[in-house]
Amino acid sequence: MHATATASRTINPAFIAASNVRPGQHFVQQVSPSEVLVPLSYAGAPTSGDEYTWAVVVAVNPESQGYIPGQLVKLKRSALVRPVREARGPVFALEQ
Amino acid sequence: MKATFRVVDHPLLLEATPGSLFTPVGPDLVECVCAVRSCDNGMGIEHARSNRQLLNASGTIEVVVIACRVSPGEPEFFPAGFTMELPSVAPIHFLTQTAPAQFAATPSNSAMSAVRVMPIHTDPWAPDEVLRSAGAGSANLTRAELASRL
Repeated sequence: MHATATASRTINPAFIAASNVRPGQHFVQQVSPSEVLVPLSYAGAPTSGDEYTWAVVVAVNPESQGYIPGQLVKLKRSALVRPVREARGPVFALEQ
Repeated sequence: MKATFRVVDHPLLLEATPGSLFTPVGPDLVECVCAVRSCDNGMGIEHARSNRQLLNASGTIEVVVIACRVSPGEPEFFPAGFTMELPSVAPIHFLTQTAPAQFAATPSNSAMSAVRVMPIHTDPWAPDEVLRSAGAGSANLTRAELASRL
């Protein structure tokens, strides 16, 4: 799905490590803020790994290149990410 | 007994391409917007499963929840990022996005810690007036929109 207004400039929240994001929490990467991701989870349980963790793309800005919803992204557990909250939900219609 | 009914020809999950959005007809993830789990193999984006597995009618395809129509705590809620295997011949509805999502930065940890958490009082036998005065709300699980489809 498409997203707009990824982050507000007036608030400067602390970046956190990707491994500290809880399942269901949206976040953007520090190095690539045009995609909104969430941690991948199996039946509510987070994916585990030694050095890496997995996330999935749920929304992309028009500036995003090469990312689509549902795409897996491999992140270093220490990668800095910024949690974001959904200010307005997307709207969908049945395709005719 | 004379019956009248209409057969709806749904697309199947195996027809979904990476990046397309859909909602399963059921019984799982019926309140969710889903996408096929895909990955970038260096040559482009493709299904996380091989073509041989996709063409197997008895096979399964992994889907990822992108968004959900109901809120946390409500029936059939699944968080974004939740992964589930569905039969590749499961019927689906393809979706078109008509309005984008908007995301905003979350407040910093110091701001969040400043929020005072109020205790929640619950009593299943208390009348609604008592619960309301205690600051607790009630959820109506028979809401019509929860039973309706898109």
